[in-house]
Amino acid sequence: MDRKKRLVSGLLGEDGLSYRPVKDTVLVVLSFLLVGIIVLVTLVLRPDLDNVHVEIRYGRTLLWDPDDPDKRTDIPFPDEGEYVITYTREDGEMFLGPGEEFQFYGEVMQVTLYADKSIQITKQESPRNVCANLGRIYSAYLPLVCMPNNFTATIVAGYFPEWDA
Amino acid sequence: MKTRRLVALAFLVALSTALHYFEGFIPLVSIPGYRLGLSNLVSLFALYYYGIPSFLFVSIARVFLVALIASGFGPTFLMSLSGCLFAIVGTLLVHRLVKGSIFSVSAVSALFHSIGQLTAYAIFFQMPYIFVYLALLGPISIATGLAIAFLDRLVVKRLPSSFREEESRRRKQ
Repeated sequence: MDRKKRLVSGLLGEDGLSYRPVKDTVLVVLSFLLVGIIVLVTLVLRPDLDNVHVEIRYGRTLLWDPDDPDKRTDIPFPDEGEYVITYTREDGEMFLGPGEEFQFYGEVMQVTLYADKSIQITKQESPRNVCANLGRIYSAYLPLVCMPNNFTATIVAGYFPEWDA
Repeated sequence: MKTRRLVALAFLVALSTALHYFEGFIPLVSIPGYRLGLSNLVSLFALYYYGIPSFLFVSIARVFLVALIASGFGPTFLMSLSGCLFAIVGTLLVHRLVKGSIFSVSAVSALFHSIGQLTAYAIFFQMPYIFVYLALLGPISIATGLAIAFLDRLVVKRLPSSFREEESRRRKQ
């Protein structure tokens, strides 16, 4: 055997670098199976989707619409058209406490709720505009996450069912 | 630990951190949470060239260094750390127990990394239905893992022979 090849196989275990048809294929197939099982379990345990509302969070703090006198954290969708919720930095005092401000890029964060049960972040400033590029979310499973601004908006359908410990 | 090994590991951590940071600038299909995983190339190299302790060191140190330099110690750090820990478990399972090749190690590691990140997200934001996103993220992660394994294999096999001789001598001691 060539000297270089001997060195490589002795040092690193040639088998460790070579594709093993049976073992590797089985492992990759099992990986796909694991993905399928996790997704299936999540779908089977999903809550009722008829009654949906929106939850907006700054970090872990649940927010309400600043214009809502009832301060509902389960924000309903509009019956028609769209409804825009705007947060300014100064609104942070309302949710986080006296003297606190929202720490996000720019001056405002806007979340738009549509009558077709979808949501979108329509006005924000973030590096490379990642939040605006997220687009419109229709699904209850895919939250709208504006990580640079620490904002999350989610369509929520009831509660995830509890199971016994 | 020998000085040479320490220096090599420090270099690997720096390289892994740099790759992690700069891959964010590569314009790809915009899938939230998806990354190329180029830093895993370095972690895998450490696993196959130096062994498990070095792999653990490079993987975990990179997470903390990226948090220090770029992302901070917020939710992103928690997701990154969770992904890293899950990936380590997956890697060790396949590498030590099942004894798969670099391809299956990398694919499983990439998948477990995604699962770890989604788990952290589900716990932090109390949103367990995020796991349905694995239907998209899972297959892409597995495919990327296989590609990274292929690249890693090329890198390892193209090391200068003097480098490999030295490591061989050190292991015989």
